[in-house]
Amino acid sequence: MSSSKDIHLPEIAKYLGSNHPINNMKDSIMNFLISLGFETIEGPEIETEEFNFDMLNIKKSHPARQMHDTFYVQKKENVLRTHTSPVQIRGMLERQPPLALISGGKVYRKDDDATHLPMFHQVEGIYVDKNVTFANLKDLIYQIIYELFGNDVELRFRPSYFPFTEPSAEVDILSKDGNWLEILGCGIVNPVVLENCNIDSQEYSGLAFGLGIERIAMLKHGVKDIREFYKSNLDFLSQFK
Amino acid sequence: MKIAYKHLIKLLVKTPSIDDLSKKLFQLGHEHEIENEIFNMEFTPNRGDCLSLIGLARDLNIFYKTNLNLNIFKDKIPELKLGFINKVPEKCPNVSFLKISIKHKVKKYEKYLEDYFKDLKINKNNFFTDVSNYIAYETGQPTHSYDFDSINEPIVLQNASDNDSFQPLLSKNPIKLQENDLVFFDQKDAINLAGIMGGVRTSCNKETTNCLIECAYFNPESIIGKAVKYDLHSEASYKFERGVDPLCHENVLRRFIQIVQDHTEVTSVEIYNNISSEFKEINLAIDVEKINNILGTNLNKDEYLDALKGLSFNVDKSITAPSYRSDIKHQNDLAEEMARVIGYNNIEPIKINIPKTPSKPSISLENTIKSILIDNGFYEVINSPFVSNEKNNSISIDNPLDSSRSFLRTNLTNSLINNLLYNERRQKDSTKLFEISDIYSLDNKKIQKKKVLCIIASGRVAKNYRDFSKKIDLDYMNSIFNLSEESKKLNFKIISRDNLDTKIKSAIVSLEIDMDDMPESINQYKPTSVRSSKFVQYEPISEFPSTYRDISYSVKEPFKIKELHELILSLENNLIKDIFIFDYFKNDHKNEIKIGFRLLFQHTKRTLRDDEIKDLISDIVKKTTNIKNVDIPGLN
Repeated sequence: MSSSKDIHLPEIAKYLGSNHPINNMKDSIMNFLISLGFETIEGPEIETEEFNFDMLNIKKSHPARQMHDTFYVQKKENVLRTHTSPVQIRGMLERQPPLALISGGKVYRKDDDATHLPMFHQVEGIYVDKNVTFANLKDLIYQIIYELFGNDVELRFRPSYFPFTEPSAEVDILSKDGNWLEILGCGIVNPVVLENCNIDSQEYSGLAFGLGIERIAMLKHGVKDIREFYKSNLDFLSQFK
Repeated sequence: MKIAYKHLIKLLVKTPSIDDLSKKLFQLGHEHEIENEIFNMEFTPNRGDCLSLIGLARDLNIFYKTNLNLNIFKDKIPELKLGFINKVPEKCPNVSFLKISIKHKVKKYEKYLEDYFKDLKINKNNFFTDVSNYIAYETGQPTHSYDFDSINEPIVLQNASDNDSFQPLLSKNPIKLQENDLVFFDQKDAINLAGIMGGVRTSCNKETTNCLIECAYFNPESIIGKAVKYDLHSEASYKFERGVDPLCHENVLRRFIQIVQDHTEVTSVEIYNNISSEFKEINLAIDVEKINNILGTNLNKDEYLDALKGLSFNVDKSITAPSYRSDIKHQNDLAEEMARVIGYNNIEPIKINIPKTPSKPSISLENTIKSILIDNGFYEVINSPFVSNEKNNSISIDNPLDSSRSFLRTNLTNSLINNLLYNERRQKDSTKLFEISDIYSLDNKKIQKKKVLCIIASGRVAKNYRDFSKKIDLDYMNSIFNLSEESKKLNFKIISRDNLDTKIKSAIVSLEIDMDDMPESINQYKPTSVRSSKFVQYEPISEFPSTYRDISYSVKEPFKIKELHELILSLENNLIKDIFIFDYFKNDHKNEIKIGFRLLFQHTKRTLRDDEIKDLISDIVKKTTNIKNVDIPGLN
């Protein structure tokens, strides 16, 4: 065989793999928030009830604390975190304001259907400083939603309820077919939560927000059934390069 | 909760259109759907006070003046001598009983009562229960109607003991109560699982003429979870869990008497009140500056106080919320009230400036590892942590979804083996996967967390002619991480297929390693791939088997290769899923190139038939062999 270069040789097709679409989505949201000044923190997925609930002003009587919503482990000693909020609590306890923290990762709730899974992913953020207002929160949420869905998307804020924020809001975007779709929850940090973290709520105020990654990934990629993400089917995974 | 538009507007002075009303409800934070002029309301859990006609109207007062003065019985009500003992005043600080006796005959229901059942498609029961249900709809206060003559006094409110038996109204079989369930007993047995559901023995029936109506405030903590526990969901439990108005009892019971009077002759009424602790109201300072600081607005004091008055707050030297607003505790709650009145969407955003902390750019080892794997064709997977098998250091779930998900996994390899077999069952002959996840286990009763990387691969190295016939093995895996002396020592292993449910023979190579044990020197790696930032639209995948065909060409004029390749790539057919060159050989002596293409076929909705593929192939063959000096050896 000749050793001269074969100019007709077809290119060797490079078969790249890819990150999981959920991690891709999570990373792109977190990278955007980091560019705004947020710092990333991590925390355990197995949490105490104190950090997952009490410190966040979620009282014993709150429905989320019932056995049908939360996974308890080791004879009710701990829970699988139901949100990434306890990570913010840990972050606040270790720092002095001003602080701007984000955490992302797996969270667990006792659900299992086409739109809910027992394990899913969240990104949550908190910003505590002097004079942080609801109007600032709106500005930040606009920036996040525009980054995700483009500058021409229409959005609305609705009053809602979370024990750890007051006022609380849910944010919807208008889909192409004219339906409002819930995208995230946010609010002004409940002063009770700040005090729980040894932050003077007279001097400081905060804003907080949380996004469900699967929901956003489903919307952006047009995936109808959340379970598709976790079948590890190469026909599925190879579409997200 | 269902609320009829036509019932609601009777309480409003002006009559808004249903669309107008709907918009205002959204502004106030009351999500709903509308069907046949019925609002199907979804209230947030802090707004139990809205769970009624009057409750919702009160919240709308800020936009539409309301008229909430309904007819009530106004005469003095004599005291009822009732044998009652409240052993748990901390769970029930406040309960009233009204005894009402009627002449037997009840008239045809008045329009307002009849409409309630008709418009909301609710089944009627007996007269007193019907009034009780209507009162809850109208006022938000659940009441329970007992048949007075079936009760053996005294009535005792106390915690149940384990295994006390109770036969609820809407349950086929008696339930076994548990310690700490809040229950009304009479001398015989349990007559009412407090706040959830009354019992069969003492319930009203069509013959009841002496009715005892219980009207109570229960601490939400003592009610919550019971309805789910016993699968006894009721309007009452839903309301009590969210908190009812502790000061409404007299008014509600007077309204009850009035409605009964509208339908029959009342022969006597008597009332018994048991109040163990007075309601404590919360006073908040008038501080419009604080409200503006929370919201980022410029409200003046007058518009602020007017808004609060519109929501029935008492404004004097300080601000006092009405007794039914148990959700109002501090200034931030008042800010939320104000934001609802203004409209969240009408608050102008103000530029946020987060102080930037100087961050040092760092190459994360995790990202480098991911780049190496992705550049070599590996896909990241994410698996559920829930498994059925227990190891002695597994963490167990107290309340698993099912027994197959009752422990947390202590390794990733098992998950990835399942992923591999899943893909092999779908005719994948080259599977390369990895996962990075925290895993949790017990060490001396203490929870241990570690971040673990797992890599698994089997089958062909890649789908190109250079690697097509190469199989993934230890050498291949090691070559990927041939970056430094340390990275060469990664301990890849062959996993035996002996105990796996598969007939495929190719070697499974795997690695499971604590991320802390991955050598830092891997960071030398320079990624070759550029990750695209656009978001692809996903196309649903087919669950039907795929099949392939190979076509091998002999090309006598080398420059025709390009033409052939382009022609094949341009073939457009829904059934062709993938095309790649799996073989390439140049024979310099004969000046001939042999090139093989593999075509993958799959239908989205069914299994493909052989003849369909045959037709497709012959079409491709015809088109391609039309190119001069391109032939398929052995083809006639």
